[in-house]
This record gives sequence, structure tokens and C-alpha cells, in this order.
Amino acid sequence: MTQGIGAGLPPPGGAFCYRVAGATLSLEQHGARVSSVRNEYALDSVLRVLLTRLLLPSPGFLLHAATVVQDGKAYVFMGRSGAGKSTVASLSPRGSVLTDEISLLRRIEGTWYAHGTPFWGEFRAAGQNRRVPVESVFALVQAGSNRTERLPPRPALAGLLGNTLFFSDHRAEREELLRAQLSLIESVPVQRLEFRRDETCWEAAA
Amino acid sequence: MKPDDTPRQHPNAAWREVDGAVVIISPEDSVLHELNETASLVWKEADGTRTAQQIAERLADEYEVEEAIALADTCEMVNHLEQKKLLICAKAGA
Repeated sequence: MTQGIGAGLPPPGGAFCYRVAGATLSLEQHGARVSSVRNEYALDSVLRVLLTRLLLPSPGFLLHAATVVQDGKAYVFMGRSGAGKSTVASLSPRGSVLTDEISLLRRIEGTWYAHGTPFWGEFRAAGQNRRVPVESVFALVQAGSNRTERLPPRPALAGLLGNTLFFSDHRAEREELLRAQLSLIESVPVQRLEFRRDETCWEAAA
Repeated sequence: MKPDDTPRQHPNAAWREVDGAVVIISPEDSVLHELNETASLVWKEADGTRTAQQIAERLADEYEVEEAIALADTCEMVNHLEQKKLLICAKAGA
């Protein structure tokens, strides 16, 4: 999980202060204040922290993942830098990429959705304000051939947590995150995707 | 550690049982730790009221192994989890 640099240590439900070079986020019970924003990168960091805090009760979370939409279904490809998120996105049909960097996953009335976000990697496209039901989540592994394997709950959870943006030191919020991710694993297949860096990777994924 | 030491879960460690084994998010680095079946039992018993000896007796009952072996295994697991800062151990007589 990504740790918040300079994250404050508030009591659960209490005030929270996050400082990153160039911006400050203060989160209180009845609102959030962003101040001293010096550049777009600082604002980007602060927005990520704010979203992780706001999403958790939904439940929801931010994931280092590209999301591609095919036939009204969202395919989420998770992995850290260099895993192939932007590669998979670039091999997907034009206009089908919801994000190539940070995916927002949230459960609404029992269904997990991938939402558009303003966070992009190499694509640098504008975010789309839409949500699409999640069909599958893939852990990316670059290989010489294409193959998928459904992960049992524990490896699936390890994969999700290893790619989650999370900025709290509190047990209650960690438990909330665990519950959220186990809920996702119960309703959506999490698979290991070995893929070739060409368009045939979609034959294995979709 | 000694058999009379009393281990307890770190108060900020979040954990769940998944498929019969415990997974823990460590308070130190927020990394996920997966325990095997026996370590899961030790973890669940480590509530701050039982000594390592008492946990080992429970382990010996559950898996039908000699108490000396169960105690050695328990101490090893507690040491490992303490090093990972998942368990806190109250020393006997302290």
C-alpha cells in the first residue's frame, strides 16, 4: 500500500491533516480544506488522499490499475510502475480506456463499479465522468504468451492490497479496507494475467 | 521469549480470517502478512490473557503433537510475529 508522506495521525472520525510539498489537506468531520497548493502535482497528490478517505465507507478504494471498457463491462488491470498498465491501455480500442493509471472502484447497491478519475499516466487524457460494472480484475505479469489464472482469496487480497493507495495508520480504517477488498473478491474474479505486449492479450482477458 | 511470557496482538494490526487462515495488515508498514494454519491458531489465541505455554497446550491438543514440540513451535512463531511487530510480548514477572 502507498503510505501517506506526512500523513497526520487523527483519531478515527476525527481531524486529519496531510502535507505534501506544495499543498495541505485538512479533513474534519464536516468538510475538507485544501490550501497552499503550489502546483498541479501537489493538487493531484492531495486529491488522491482525499478520495481514499472519502471512498472507504462506501466502500471503495483507489487502485494502481488501468481500466478498459468493453461491451459495457470494465476490465481492471492492476500493477505498479512498469507492470504494463499503459501497455494494455495502448493495446485497447480507442476510447475504451477509462484510466491508464489509477482506478477508482466502489460498491453501489451490491455491484462493484469502476469510475472515471482525473488521474492518468502516459495517456494524459481527460477523465470521464462515468461508471461501469467491473467484470474482472487482473494482476499484470508480462510474459511470452497469454494466460489467465483465477487467484484464490488470499493471493487476490495480497495483489489488491499491494496496489492500493491508502493513507491511514488506524486499525479501524485498515479493517474497513480489508472488508471492502474481500467484498470485491467475493463478487468479482481476480485473476493473474500473463500477457504478451501485443493486441492478442485481449484474447486472454475478455 | 519464555514459556511464561504473554503475547498479544498489536492493537493497530487489522486482521481477518480468509479461507481458514489469518491475514494481517501490519501497523508498521501496512504490508499484508499471511499466516499458515498453526500460526493462525497462535495469533487468535494471543489475546494477552494466555501465556505461550498455554497457547502451546492448545496447539498440542489441536494437532495432537507433543507439548515440548508445540511449545518450541509456539515460541518460534511468537518470536517471528514479534519481530514483524504484529505481536507484543509481556515478559513474565515484568
